[in-house]
Amino acid sequence: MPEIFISPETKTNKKVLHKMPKKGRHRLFSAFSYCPNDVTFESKEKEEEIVLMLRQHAIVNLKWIFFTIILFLCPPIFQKTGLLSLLPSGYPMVAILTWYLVTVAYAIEGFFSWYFNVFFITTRRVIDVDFFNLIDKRVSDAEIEKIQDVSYSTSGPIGTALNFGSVLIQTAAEITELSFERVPDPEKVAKILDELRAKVH
Amino acid sequence: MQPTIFSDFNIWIIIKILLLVVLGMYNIFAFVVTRQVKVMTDTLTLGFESVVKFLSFFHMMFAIFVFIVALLVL
Repeated sequence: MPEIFISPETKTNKKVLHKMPKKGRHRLFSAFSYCPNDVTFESKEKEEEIVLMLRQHAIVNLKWIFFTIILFLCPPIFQKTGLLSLLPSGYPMVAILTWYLVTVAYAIEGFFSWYFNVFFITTRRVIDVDFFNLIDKRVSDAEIEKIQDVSYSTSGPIGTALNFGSVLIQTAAEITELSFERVPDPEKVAKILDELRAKVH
Repeated sequence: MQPTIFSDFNIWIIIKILLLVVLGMYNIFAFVVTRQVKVMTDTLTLGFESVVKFLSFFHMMFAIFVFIVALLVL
């Protein structure tokens, strides 16, 4: 018999259950992992549990991927235009190899900057691991109980369409401000942080 | 015209030396990158460590290869 009426309560419950993030094993390049059990960091304490692991949204990788493709296509264009024939023998080959070396370095830097730029929210702390370039990094953290304010923002057409944005955390710790930039679902991140703060206080 | 010290001057020798110096410095940079990646993979366990280490090692090997080629070919 076809259903004529479905209770609104049932609909709401289904929706809420569907929205709950999945716990456990995280996907390799996931930008939003809730309670990942196969991820850890050096300073993690025994009783500490990772609640959330965040990265910048995968869409930010498009820039370096695009430029890497362009850079890879340049040497054949140089050869076709006869630019390299102006050089003495041996130099064109070294020039092409050096070009590809720089391209590889650019691609690796782009990937590592995304891969190692990780934000952790644990049961005790908020940790921001910044990998600025191939030789600069910074790790900053703040305890949950020292968090004073959490705000989030989504801006721009791409950010709105793909639902990513920034989460700004004001703390009373030595580092007064932590910022998670271009993370997926900033609203959910802020909500999880608020829940953790409520538990601690 | 009297030959001077600059008459046999070849600009490409200077370019070769400069290129080798730059590539040598790049090799040091590539080595530092492998060390940095090792430190990062020791700090963070994210499930992709072996590939990340391989990428940095490949980059260093490629830099050494280009340096050797430049040394032999130029």
